[in-house]
Amino acid sequence: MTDEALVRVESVSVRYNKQLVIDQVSLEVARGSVYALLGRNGAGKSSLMRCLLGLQKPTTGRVLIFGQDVWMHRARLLARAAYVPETSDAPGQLRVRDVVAFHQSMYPTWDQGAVKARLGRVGVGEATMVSALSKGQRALFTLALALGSKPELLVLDDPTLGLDVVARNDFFSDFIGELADRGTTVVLTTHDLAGVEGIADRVGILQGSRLALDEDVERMKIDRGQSLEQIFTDLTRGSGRAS
Amino acid sequence: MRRILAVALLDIRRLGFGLASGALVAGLVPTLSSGLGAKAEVGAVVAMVFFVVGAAAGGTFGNDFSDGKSSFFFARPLPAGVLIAGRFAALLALAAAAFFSFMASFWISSSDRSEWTLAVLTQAHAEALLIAWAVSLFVALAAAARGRGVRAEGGLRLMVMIPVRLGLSMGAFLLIFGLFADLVLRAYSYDLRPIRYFGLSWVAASFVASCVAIALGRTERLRISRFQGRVMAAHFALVSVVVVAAWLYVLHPGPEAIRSVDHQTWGSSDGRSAYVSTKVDRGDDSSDGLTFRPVFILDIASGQARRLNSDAFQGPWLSADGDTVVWSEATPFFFRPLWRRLGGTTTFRVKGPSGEVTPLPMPSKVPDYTSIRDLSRGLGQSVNWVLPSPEGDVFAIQWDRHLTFTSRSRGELSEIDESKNRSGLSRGINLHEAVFLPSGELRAARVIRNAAGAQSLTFIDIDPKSGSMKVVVSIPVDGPVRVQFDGKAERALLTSVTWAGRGAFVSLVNLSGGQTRVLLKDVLFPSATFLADGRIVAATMGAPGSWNRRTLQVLSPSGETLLDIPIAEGLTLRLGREMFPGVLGASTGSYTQELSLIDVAAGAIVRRLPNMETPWRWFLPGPTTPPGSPAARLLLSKDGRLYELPSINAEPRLLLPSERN
Repeated sequence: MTDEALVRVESVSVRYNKQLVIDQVSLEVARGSVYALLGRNGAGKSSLMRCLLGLQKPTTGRVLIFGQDVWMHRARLLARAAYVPETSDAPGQLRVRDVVAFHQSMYPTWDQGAVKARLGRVGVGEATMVSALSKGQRALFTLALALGSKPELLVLDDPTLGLDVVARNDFFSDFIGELADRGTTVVLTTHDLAGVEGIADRVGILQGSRLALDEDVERMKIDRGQSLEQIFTDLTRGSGRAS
Repeated sequence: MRRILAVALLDIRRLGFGLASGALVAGLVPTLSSGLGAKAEVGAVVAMVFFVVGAAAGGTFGNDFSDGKSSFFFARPLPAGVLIAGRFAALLALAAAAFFSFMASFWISSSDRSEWTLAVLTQAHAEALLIAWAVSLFVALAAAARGRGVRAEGGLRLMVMIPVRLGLSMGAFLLIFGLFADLVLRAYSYDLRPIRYFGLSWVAASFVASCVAIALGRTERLRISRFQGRVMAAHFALVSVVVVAAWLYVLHPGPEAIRSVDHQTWGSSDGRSAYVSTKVDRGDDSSDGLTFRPVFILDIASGQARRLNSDAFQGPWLSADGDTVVWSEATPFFFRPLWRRLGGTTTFRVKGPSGEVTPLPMPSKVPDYTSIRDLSRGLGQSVNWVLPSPEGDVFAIQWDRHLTFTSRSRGELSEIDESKNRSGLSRGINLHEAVFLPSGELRAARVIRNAAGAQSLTFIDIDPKSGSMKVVVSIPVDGPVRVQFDGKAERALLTSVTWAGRGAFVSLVNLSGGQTRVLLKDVLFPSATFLADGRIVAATMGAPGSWNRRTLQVLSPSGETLLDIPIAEGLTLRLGREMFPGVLGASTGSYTQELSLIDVAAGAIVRRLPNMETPWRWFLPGPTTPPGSPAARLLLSKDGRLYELPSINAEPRLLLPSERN
């Protein structure tokens, strides 16, 4: 593990019953970088993301964040990390302010003012029920919650899935702006290759349950002379599941 | 603590309004129901409110794990223990809110405020809340963990294995639950604690399983499901060991477990051994005489006892010569229909003079646990009694209002079905002295009531082969009468019961000639018995208007008075058995129990034994124990100790419970 690696995945395999979803995947994410994990549907991206946060125990291998095993020390380590799931996991029966209050109690580094400001910018009222938020509002609300704790590590699992173009652009612009401010380490999965191409420092592509590619984005584009989308298409054609 | 409160607040915000509103409505129920003329117990309604609160809180907690939504908690710096503690704190807060809402509504709606107090809360309310919470959490978590699964490989193999696994699991569950039900039915039918502990253990296990699954499964459904299953499987294994151990320990006591002896004790025909109904140091502690009373066979000379593994009230039944014994083996009750369907034999056993034990060939109609429906009759209700013939081949079986004859050599012989005849064979008492005659016929008594309601006691001889009945003699009677045959069933003593202040009688019936002779008339609480030499002894406690003039009469075999002995001592006089030749045991206590030995030749009490009586047996046929034999000399103390009296003047020798106990 390099000194700069904030995330280190060591020979992680994930198996559901007898189905092998991730096979001996190892990777590192440098502090302050943006790592994009790509793959077709069912490639195991979400499983790896959950392993990364100690939400799921790898069948074999381990994941270290901040130099410690995240499965063993999840609650302590996640005080410095945040997660944006594929779909909002906040209970729909709660109001926005209740969810914010809950997060405020969880994180000593919580920045209530910044969260309120961000929610105001994206038009999410504090008295609104979570279930009443649109899909785009929910995504931005979830991102606001994630950034509210000023995390050193941000893990995003396909956060723009299902968003329209405008919402998707808002998401990435907001996201990029925040990153520029803080130098947060980011690990994300997405199908939005064009969106991620501009922000990712390094990219990994899961194919056939293995990590088929793990390279610096700029170097990869220079070496291969192709766009990220062309490389991804060439690597994953004929594998994965139909969307 | 801050994080616990944060978690609790989520549930309070989600559920608080709905549950408090529901409790407000529930608070109106006691008043509304009294307005409709019905009574709704406040405590019961509060328990229902708590049950709903527990179910809602537990269900919400479990449902938070569906579709990976539990990342809301686990992707935050929130330990699993804090999450569970927070949800528990929310449960208590919601319960408190619901209770105060209920009481507020009840206070407003009702004018009777005697129950408007915290004292309405009992342990049962806490149990309703916690059980509902634990069970609904387990169920909701299991449902959330099921969700959309990952298709496993080996579909064909699974198609075979799933039914096999399911079948084995079901079989194991049925076995353990069946054994537990057997244990409760036999030994704890009046003590609810085993059922309570058994049920609570499953609730506790489900709660532990949920906590383990939440802590170790987090957001992964397969792991949640797996850990829930593993904890419950471990609990099942533990329960299995405990149930099997308890079943073996409680239902199979040795003689060292005997704590006291019941009244139900009767000797063998040679008088060397006795069947003793006991209370043991296990099973429930009810003194109703209906539950767990294991029967031991006592060898009187050595004092050694061994348990007869029989169902309660299903034997042992002995032939008149004592050589043949029938009983129903105490096999696991709930498995009997399955056992029979698999080709197993009846539980009824016969032990002949050779000592060989064989199944009793049961007639087809007898409810012999061949079907599930037979189980509804309960334990000890299959047949009323079985009387083996002296040679041990023919058996008379009385069940419901049927009398069926079966033979070991010839199978089912005949059946008398009087189930639709209200004046037909009565259950138990009037056939309790039924006896097989040397001719092979069964001599018995039955009560017949005519259309006008007049009742007569009819002695009949029944041919087992054909089931045909021949009336020997019929005697009008009024009220219950006890019937007692002599050794050859040639005479019968009828003893009526004193009731409603009316005098009773003792009559002698000559069954050869059909004559009846009244021995005592219009007397109080009479008792009578045959002596081994054919003489008769009858005792009374006076007559209406001359209470407490106790007398004992010795009569010839044909009923002539030979001696009339006034008994001055004590307040009661009830005849027991002939303990020594010509010496009768009789209860003659004043305010305490006392057994007097009366020499009927001398007409005098020759010994008094305080706190003693002679054991007896009600309403069942059996052998006559010869006077002077060890079994005839058994004594039972007030505190349930069984003694043998070696001679009239000797000290009683303790037999059971043994001094080692």
